[in-house]
Amino acid sequence: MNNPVKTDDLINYLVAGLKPVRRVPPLKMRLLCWLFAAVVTLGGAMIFVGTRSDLLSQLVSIKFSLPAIAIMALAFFSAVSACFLSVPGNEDSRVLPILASISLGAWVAVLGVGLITSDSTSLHAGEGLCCMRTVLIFSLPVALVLAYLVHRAAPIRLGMVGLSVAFAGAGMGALSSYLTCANDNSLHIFTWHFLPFLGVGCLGIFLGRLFDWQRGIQGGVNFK
Amino acid sequence: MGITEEQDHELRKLMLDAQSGVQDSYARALRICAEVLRGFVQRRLMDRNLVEDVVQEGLLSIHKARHSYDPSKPFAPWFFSIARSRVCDHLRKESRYRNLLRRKMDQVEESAFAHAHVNGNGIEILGSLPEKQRKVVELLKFQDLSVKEVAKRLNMSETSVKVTAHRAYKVLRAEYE
Repeated sequence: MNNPVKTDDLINYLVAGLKPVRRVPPLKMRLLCWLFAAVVTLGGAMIFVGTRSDLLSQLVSIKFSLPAIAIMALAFFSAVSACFLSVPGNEDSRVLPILASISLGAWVAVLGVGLITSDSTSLHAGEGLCCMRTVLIFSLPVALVLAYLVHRAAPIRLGMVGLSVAFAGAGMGALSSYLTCANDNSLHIFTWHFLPFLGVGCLGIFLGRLFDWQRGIQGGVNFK
Repeated sequence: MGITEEQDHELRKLMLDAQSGVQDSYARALRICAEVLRGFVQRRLMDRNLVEDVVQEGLLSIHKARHSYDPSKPFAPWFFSIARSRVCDHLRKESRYRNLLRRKMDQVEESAFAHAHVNGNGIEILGSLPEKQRKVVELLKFQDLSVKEVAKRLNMSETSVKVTAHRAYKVLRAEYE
């Protein structure tokens, strides 16, 4: 054996330093926290950015409400997925990531149809940057709250959990932007709402891998 | 060796106590975990000398994640999930390290090895190693002999050759990092 530390000594060391721990809150509780953060963020976006003037009339149109429902479902399933997968033993579950993927697929499909059928090819950078800023700013608080809740558990598949956290946050950011932006042009939504959303998702995979709770555990020799 | 239903029941109770800070229960839980973990790791690692390292890493992970266990659920899935992750991490690290070493050794073959032949002082890169380790690495990496052939030539057991090479690689890795 290369390791000079005996396993029995390690056990004695761990037992001697044992302190009572606060268990990770149940899934429902963590989801409620996320939901609260999501509602507050969405409310904040409505107040600080302002809703589009025709929001109420648009809500009854399927063309407008279908993507909104898809984004909401995507954010919700991503949040459930992040909370559930972050507990060891649950990481192989496929149902929740699949539900989130279906919601993402629905949003992409609606956008795709819009891009194919729309004639408009103009992009206004000024307006677009405002939308992108809204997506990014309102993603952050929701993602941070969820990241805290998830990190308190002990996620094994860090990339997947990071992606779910990012999608749950970015989904609320994209929804905020969708409800406050008056531009229905599919190319605009794709470029300034959807691409930043995807960008945050990729960032989530990267950041998720950085927050490894097992970091520093090596060879069992560094426990002192 | 897996976790029997009886053990699972016992471990659930022990972990519940451990979460409230009961030391005896935690010690018993960790000892059972260590035993199961040893069997689990032994079946997955080629190098028997590293088993205890990975068992200890697993115990540390269990200690760090003990708050995430829900005692109303079976213990085995939670436990094996952590155990699997530790073994995978270890294999990944090993593979990364072997690749790095292979690359470095290739460089050595191109430059240092040629230089070493010229000045006749042996391979420079291996200069910091004790004689026995240097000989093993030379035969394995520069003369492309198999572990069996090296063991025969140096009158050592195959396990001993692997352990010696592993120790030498560790020293080399530390030098390169």
